[in-house]
Parts: sequence; structure tokens; C-alpha cells
Amino acid sequence: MQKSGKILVVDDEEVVLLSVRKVFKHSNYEIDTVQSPQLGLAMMESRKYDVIITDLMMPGMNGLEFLQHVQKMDKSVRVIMITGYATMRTALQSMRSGAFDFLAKPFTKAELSNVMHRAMQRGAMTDVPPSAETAGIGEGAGALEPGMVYTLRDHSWVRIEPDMSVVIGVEKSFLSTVGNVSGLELPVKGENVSQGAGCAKLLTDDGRAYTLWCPLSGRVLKTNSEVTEDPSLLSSSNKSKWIIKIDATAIENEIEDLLRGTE
Amino acid sequence: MQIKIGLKIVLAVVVFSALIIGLTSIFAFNFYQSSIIDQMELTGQQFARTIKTSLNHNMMNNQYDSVRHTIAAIGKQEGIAKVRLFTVQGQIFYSSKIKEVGKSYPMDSLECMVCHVNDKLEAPKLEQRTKIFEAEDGITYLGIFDPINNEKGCYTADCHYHSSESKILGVLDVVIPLESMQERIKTGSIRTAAFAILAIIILSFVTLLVVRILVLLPIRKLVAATGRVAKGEWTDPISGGRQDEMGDLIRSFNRMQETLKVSQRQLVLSGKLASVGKLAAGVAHEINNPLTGILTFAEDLLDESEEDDPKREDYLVIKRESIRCRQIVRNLLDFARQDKPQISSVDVNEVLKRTITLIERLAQFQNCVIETSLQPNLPLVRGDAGQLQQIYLNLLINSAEAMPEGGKITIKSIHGRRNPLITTTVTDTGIGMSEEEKRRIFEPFYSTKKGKTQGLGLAVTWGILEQHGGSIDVESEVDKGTKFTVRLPAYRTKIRKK
Repeated sequence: MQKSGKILVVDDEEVVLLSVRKVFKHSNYEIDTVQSPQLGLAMMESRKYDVIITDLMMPGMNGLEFLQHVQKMDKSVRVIMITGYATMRTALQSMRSGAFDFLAKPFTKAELSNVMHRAMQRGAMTDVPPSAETAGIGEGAGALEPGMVYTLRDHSWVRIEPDMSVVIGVEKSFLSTVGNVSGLELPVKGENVSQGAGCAKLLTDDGRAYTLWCPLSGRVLKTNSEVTEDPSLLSSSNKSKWIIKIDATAIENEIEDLLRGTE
Repeated sequence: MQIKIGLKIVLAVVVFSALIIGLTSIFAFNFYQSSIIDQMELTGQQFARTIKTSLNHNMMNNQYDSVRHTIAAIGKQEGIAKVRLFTVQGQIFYSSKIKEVGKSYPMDSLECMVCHVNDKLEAPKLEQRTKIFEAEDGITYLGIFDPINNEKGCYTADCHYHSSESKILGVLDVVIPLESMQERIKTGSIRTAAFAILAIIILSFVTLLVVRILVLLPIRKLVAATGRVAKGEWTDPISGGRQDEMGDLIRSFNRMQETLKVSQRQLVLSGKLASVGKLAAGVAHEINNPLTGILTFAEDLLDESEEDDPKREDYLVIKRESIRCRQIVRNLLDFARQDKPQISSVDVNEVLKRTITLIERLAQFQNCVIETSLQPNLPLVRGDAGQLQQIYLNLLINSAEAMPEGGKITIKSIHGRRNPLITTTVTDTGIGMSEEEKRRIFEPFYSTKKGKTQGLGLAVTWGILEQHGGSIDVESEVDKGTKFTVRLPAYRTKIRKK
């Protein structure tokens, strides 16, 4: 039942490589570990990987450059960026360039395993996002208007409401990787959420709790009671339902990290 | 060469007082001298008149012996050198000095020149009828010439000596020695000079003394104190300031030192925060990887162990503490990161209300009474709403934790008109802080909660406020409570109404 898959782990610290192996000790995954991005690229020439876990800050070549090389070699592989807490924002921004997800070190077994699960569920990445320049990123806050939608790829989306508040929803692609959502843990009204931190937990039938990254920082104004009462609505309905409504306090600054998109 | 102020002042006083006292003395003395002379002249005139009168009767009766006798007697008096009677031709008719009788004085002699000025006969006034001269014996004399006028009784006398045509019958000459006057003048001048010098000396001393007490000593204290501060040492506050400019200066200095101390403390704190920041970032980065290993391996041990394995507890501890390490590192990094604040126009009252809503339901606040007194229509503040909320969150949580048995938390916001600052206070009735705690509470890694926190909360708060151009300070009394005062600069813009 446990899916099989090929994983490549790239990190200059041996202890991190050992840790990843430990986490997936009992899984069916085939894991290769290398300590440099160059070695990683070399490995890719002889094997096809489903998921690559890579550190963001490595001597020589950083994670983003590596990501671009990887995508050139194999567009379908899912790349998960792991990084220290201090560089989380960079990791989040890497999602704009096509990374599947990111994770902060140190991570718990559950955190890594959930992300891996989603990555495997995702299957091949069929649509590589356009590069940052053509996505119209960084148009400036002046261009923000009600109705606009931005996404944190494969995680969450935001839509600007008529009253200039922002609603957050879950990307369909995220939902497809987690399976049936039986429960939803959301922040309460008045709480602050930060970009790159978790803003919701999706509880699934198989006992996992998936963390949804918050796309924009702000203060929670309201949560969608409809969905909290019946989380299955998230997956079932055609139109994505929003889950949290916030007053986005740093939108001018943070909007650049997201992709312009559709719901 | 540095000339002392005291010396300069004394010099100035000496020179000017010497000048003034000197001039005054000279004028006074001259006046004194001329007064004496005038007095002597008057006295002389009295003498002459008296003599004239006393001789009159004898002259009228042509009693030459009596006249001679009287003149001789008068001439022997103390205070009279000689008495002489001149004829209009200048011949001495009578004299107390017998030897002179018959002597003739030419018209151009001093004595005659009194009235015979330039061949003209004039009737001089009193002042001119007297003459002061120095004789061959070195003594100064006063000579008074009193002409004897012709009267009816004179030219109708039995002796028929004088005709009625003569106007002047003769001249009485009284000579008075001025020795005593000279003596007096000499004594006078010595006394005056002595007094002047004494006055100058006393004045100088008194001035020096007064200057010393009022100015020099305080200045010396100040010079010493500022010298110490300039070297970088703190010095005790200077005492003994009176209610004058020196007192003001002393008080200013004391205040200035206090301000300097506070500034320096803040600078040191700032510096500490900055280095902690850098240190934190470096350490945190280094720690991530090892922590990854520890956490995952501990989890693995836990998962691999049997249900009844006694070691499970231990693995749990390792896992839990590793996660705790992770949180500590994240807090540290949040502190160190000093993200560029997201600036917007913030309503402080809104932030306060929001924060209160956030914490109301928390366990620590369940037995606390929260009272607010928020001044409506506060001006807005340019700042990061999230960071400001973090500040108040921090303060409120600290308040609640200071009174685990419950108590009251009072939150106020105040803005005085034209005041550039908005003041907010969070007051609790908790256990309070000691002097040392108050002093150190904003230091990074200083905590009064005995290891429950890393002691960063207030240091972060301090840093946030510094960036916002605001400030925070604390008042506290052990067992009475604590009050934090947060000040933020008001943004000059229209007040946003609800």
C-alpha cells in the first residue's frame, strides 16, 4: 500500500542525509543521498527520480540554481526545498520557480513524511510554471484589485475581496495529494498568521495532519463555518471554497512571492 | 599661562577701587584742605576786625602808648605771629615786632600788591585781602590786610591828625602762622591715604572671599566632576547648589550626567541587541542541521521501541526537548531577523483591543480583571501593526504571569493635544520587580521567570519600539504591581474615524 518511489536527497551535511534515511526507514522508497548538487545532477543522468529533497543553502551552488538545472533535466520531478528557519522566505519564493514544497529544518518525522506523501501522490509535474519574469510578478501593489487571485503553488490561493480583505483557500492540487479531508483546524478570529507558516491543518482519514502554508501574513477576520462543519465540501464542490478571511497587513510586500493565477 | 579667575577679579577690583578711592580721597582731601584755609582766613579776618575795634578807642583818643601796648600784647598771643600797622605810604607805624617800626615797604612788594594792583587802587574782597606765603624760616603764614577806613570820628578828633580827604588811614596787617593747620593737613593726608589703602585691601579680600565661596568653589567642583566624566568615569552628583546661576549650573550638570548614564545604558543595550542578533543568526544556522539529526533519530528510537520498553520515556524526553530547541532557535531568529517592518497607519486603540480579544480566553487570564481606558480619536501611528501587537501581547502575558492568583490589569491610552507622543500603559497588580530587575528587564536573555522563557520578549519589544521611534519604561514596586509605559510617535494625519 505504501507507494514506492525514487528519492534523491541532496545536502552538504551528512547528519541531514542520515536523518532522511531514518525517517523513511520502513518505507518502500528507494533513497539516494549525495552531499553536493553537482553529484546530484550526475546521479540524475543515470536514474529517474520522483522526488528530490534539497537543501537551499549549499556551498558552490544554491538550491534555486540547482532547481533550475533539475528542471532542465527532468521537468516532472517534484523538488522539496529544506532550509533553516532563517531562510524560509527564500524557500517559499522558490515555489514560484517550480519547487513543490518546502520544509524547515529541523523537521519532525511527521512533517517530512506528510510532504513526501503529498509529493508522491502528486505524480508527475506536468505543468512547469513560467519563469518569474513572464508571470507578471512584482507588478507592484498598485495593481491590486478585487477579484485578483494569487497562488502559493500547489498549496493555497488568495483572492482579493471587494472590501479589500483577502480570502485564503486550498489549491485543488493540494487537496488531490492529501486525499479525503475529514477535519479542518483553522486559526480563530483575531489570530495573526504569517506567510510561510502554517495557517491550517487538514486532517485526513489516514490519520495524517497536513499543514497548509499561509500565502500572506495578516489578521484572521473570519473562518468559513460552512467548511469547518463539513470539510468534505472542500474536495467535493467544483468551485474552491475559501477557508479563512484575513486582513492582509503586508500584502504590498508579500504579494511578489505568489503567482498570479486562477482559482 | 593660565591666570586664575580669582586673581583676575581681585586685580580688576584693586585697580578700579584704587582709582575710585584714590580720586575720591584726593578730592575729599582737597576740599578738606581748602575748608581749613577758608576757616583760617575767616578767623584771621575776625582777628583783624577785633584788633581794629580794640585799637579804635585808643586811636581816637590819640593814646599811642596804649596802642603800642595793645599791639605788642596781641602780637604775643598764641596763633598770631605779628601785628603791624602800615601807613598809606607803606611805612610800618606800629608793630608787635619793635624792630620793624619805621621800616618802609615799596609799592611793588607783596604786601602792597594786595590792594595796589597795577598802579590802581582797588578794594579787594575778603579772599584777596589774605595771602598765604612761606617765609624765610620755612613756615607758612597767613597774612590778612585790613585797611582802616576814614570815619567822622577820625578826622574830627582833637589831635587833628587825619584830614577828611583821606579815605584810608592805614592798613592793619595780621600774620598768623599756619603750623597747626599744616600739621592737621599732614595728619589728614596721611590718614586719608591710610584709609584708602586699607579700604582697597579690605575690599579686595572681601571680594576674593565672596567670589571664592559663590563662584570659585562651585566651579572647582564642576571642573573636577566634568573632568571625571570626560575621562569616562561616573561621579557622585554635586551637592550644595544654591538658588542662583551656579546652583542652576550644578543642577544642570547632575541632570546631564543622569541623561548620559541613561543614553549610555541604551547604547550598550542597543549594541548588545545587535550583537545578540548577529550571534543568534549564526548560531541558529549552525544548529539546524545537528538538531535535525537529534530530532529524527530520537523519533526513530521512539518508534522502534516496544510499548513496554522502559527507555521509551527517555526517547520521549529527547524528542520533546529537541522540538523545544527548535522553538528556541526560531524565537531567536525572529528576534534577530529584524524584518523590515510592514509600515502602515495604525490605530493603537485597535491594536490594544485586538490584543485583548486574543488573550481574553487564554488560561492565564481567566482570573484576571481587565480594565481599559482608551482615549478616543487617537492620532494614528506609522508602524507595523503586527509588531505593535506583539509588544502589547508580550506585556499582557507578562502581567498575567505576574499574578497567578489573579488580579487587575489596567490598559490605558492617552494623547495630550500637541503632544508628539501617544502614551499607552499596561498596569498590573502582580508581584512587582526589584530595583535590579527593573534595571535589567530589557536586556536580552534576562528573565524573571526563572528559566521558563529565554528572556527575549522585552528585548524584542525594546528593539521594535526603537525602530518605531518610540520608547518603553517600567515602574514597579515589589508586591504592589508593575506599570509599563509605551510611547509611540503620533503620525500627523487626519484622525481616522470609525
